Amino acid sequence: MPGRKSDTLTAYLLLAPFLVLFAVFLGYPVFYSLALSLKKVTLSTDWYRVFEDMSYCGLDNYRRLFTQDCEFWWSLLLTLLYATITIPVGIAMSLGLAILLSNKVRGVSFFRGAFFLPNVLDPLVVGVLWVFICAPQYGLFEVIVRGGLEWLKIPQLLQSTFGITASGQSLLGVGLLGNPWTVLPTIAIAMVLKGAGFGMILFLTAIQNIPEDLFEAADLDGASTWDKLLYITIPHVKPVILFMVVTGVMGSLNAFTEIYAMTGAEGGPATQVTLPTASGALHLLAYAVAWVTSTTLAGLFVSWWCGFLEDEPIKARLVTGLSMVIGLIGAIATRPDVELPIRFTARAASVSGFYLFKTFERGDYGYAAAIAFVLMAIALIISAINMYAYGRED
Amino acid sequence: MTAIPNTPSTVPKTECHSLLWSSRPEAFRCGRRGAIVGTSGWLQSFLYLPLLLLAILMLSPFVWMLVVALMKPGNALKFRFIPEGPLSTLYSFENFERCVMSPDFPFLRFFANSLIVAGISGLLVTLICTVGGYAFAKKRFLGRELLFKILLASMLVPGLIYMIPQLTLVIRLGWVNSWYGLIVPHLASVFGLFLMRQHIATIPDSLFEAAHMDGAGEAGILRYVVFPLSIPAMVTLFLLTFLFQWSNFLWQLVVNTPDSPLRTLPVGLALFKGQYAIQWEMMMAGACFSVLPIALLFLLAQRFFIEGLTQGAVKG
Repeated sequence: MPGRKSDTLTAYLLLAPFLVLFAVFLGYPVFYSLALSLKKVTLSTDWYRVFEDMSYCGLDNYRRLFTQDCEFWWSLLLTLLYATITIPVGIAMSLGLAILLSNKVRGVSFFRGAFFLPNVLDPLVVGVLWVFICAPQYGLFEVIVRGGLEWLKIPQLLQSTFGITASGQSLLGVGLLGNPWTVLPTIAIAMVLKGAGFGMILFLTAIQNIPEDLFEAADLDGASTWDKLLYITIPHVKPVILFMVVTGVMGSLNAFTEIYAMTGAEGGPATQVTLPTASGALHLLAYAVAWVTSTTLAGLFVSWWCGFLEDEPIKARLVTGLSMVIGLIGAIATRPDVELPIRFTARAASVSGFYLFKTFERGDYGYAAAIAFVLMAIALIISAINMYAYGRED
Repeated sequence: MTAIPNTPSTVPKTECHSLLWSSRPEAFRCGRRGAIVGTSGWLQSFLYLPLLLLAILMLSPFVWMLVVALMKPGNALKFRFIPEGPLSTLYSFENFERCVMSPDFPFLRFFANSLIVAGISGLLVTLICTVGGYAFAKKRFLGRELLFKILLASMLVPGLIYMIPQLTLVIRLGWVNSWYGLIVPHLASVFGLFLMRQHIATIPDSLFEAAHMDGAGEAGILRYVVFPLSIPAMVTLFLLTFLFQWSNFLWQLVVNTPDSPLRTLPVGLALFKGQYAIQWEMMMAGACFSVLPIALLFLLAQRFFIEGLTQGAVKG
């Protein structure tokens, strides 16, 4: 049937309901938003018909975003932090689950269902649940910690030896979600626990598709479990790892509902943030690059010395990656004193998706549209990098 | 050990594509890898320990939710693992009763609203996407490639870009506080179209040709070939749309005024949270209204959920 002229008309007739809805509710809005991002709300704007009555301001919104808005850059930094927790922990956890389940165990379908179930539940409700779990004094987390300590007789021990009475007080003060240092990692871990079943299924499918003879051959060669994991399983599930990194980045850029639910629509506790100026940031960046380059070179040297470079590319990559991380940690630990003149109050969990919502909520529609487009540009750049690395369409 | 001979360090791209697409039932077969310990032996039983611990870790929030929902008011704050006193004095169905009876927060009404919104959206999206997906899979038409690229690009746009313009459209159409406003703007599901296109493309062309020879028009082809042969994919799409609409909190919040009779479950729950912030037993009972039906649906149709979500994900 392919290739007939009359097909065009039929096809568009069949697609008509979809295309009409798409054009009206998804196509037109993009252009409307683009126009909106070039406008702003002014004092004279009539709030009852705010969208028609905004004044044109050219690229002012974008200029403000890139040059003046510290909170936006702070939110991007938090997004990066959120991504660096959710992605590696998520991959490790789902791969671990998949490897456990790819063994011959009874009740695979039960475990698969149990691990996947949290995925289909409403993130808002799951967020509320976690608020309750992390609550100070009566939250499940603290009940367990306190119960464990009491069971181990630690409070009595403290009282008898040091004279400290801890009973009745909250162990964690304001709770995990009230502390600016722990709020974002807690949300990230909660979301990893909710989403790990998804990656698990992808990894499980990939592992099941590895030809059986590879494992048999490895067994004959006397390969250990670790060798099989390193040289058979991981290379074969690499596409899934790449896929999870990319979707993880997208998820972090769009993270909203979980933050909204778990911080009481606030974006976490307020914190005093000090950021370096542009020249200071450049200084710090140069310092970090110097550290990372030197440790990476050292790592490369070590893997060359041990002969990994020729024979064992995976070990070489592991060593080099590890030395990069060491370099980063070293750079952070010994960072030079640069001026930190930019001070402002920000929310400790206000990632960029949430910041966008906040801008929208306070009625700064033009600016919100501009932020949305900048975030979309970041997402597009990352997926372009992915397509290049992955060498695949879609 | 040195590297195993002929072990590919990377998987060819085309292979990885088919690897995630083809032989889907593989994922549902029992393990045979022996990736950790041998395929036999009592060591296997040690695998249950981490598996059980992880299952407990991932499911405990929901078990906790149920436990707290069954507690009598005020008991959540003084919870002990070893119950003090008989269970009947600590636990009851009171919270559920209060949720259902509450005059300000009629949970049964919220529940019915969510059911209607999610159910009708699911049906319409499935119908529209199946018909559209058929056109995309089996017709070669002018502008097909361009359209495909536009649709693909639209999936990268963050949802909040759509929200303001959709809201102005809904206001202009007078759809605030109406079923139309809740349902219509989310009917064009690009994901659904791609899912159906992918499925219908696997139906052999010869079937369509045979139906054509037998004098079937497009309606006949849809009725006798496309619909019967894509029921699994349609069920999957229906369930996923249902799921999406069931938890589509932000949109349902903005198209309804706070006193609207059409408030759905997530909206009701959020408002409820504002009112009863400290009454955790009530909150958790409310949360049960959202979680339990979906959990039940998942248990009944696990396969469709898992296949649909992972297939859609890999397709991107």
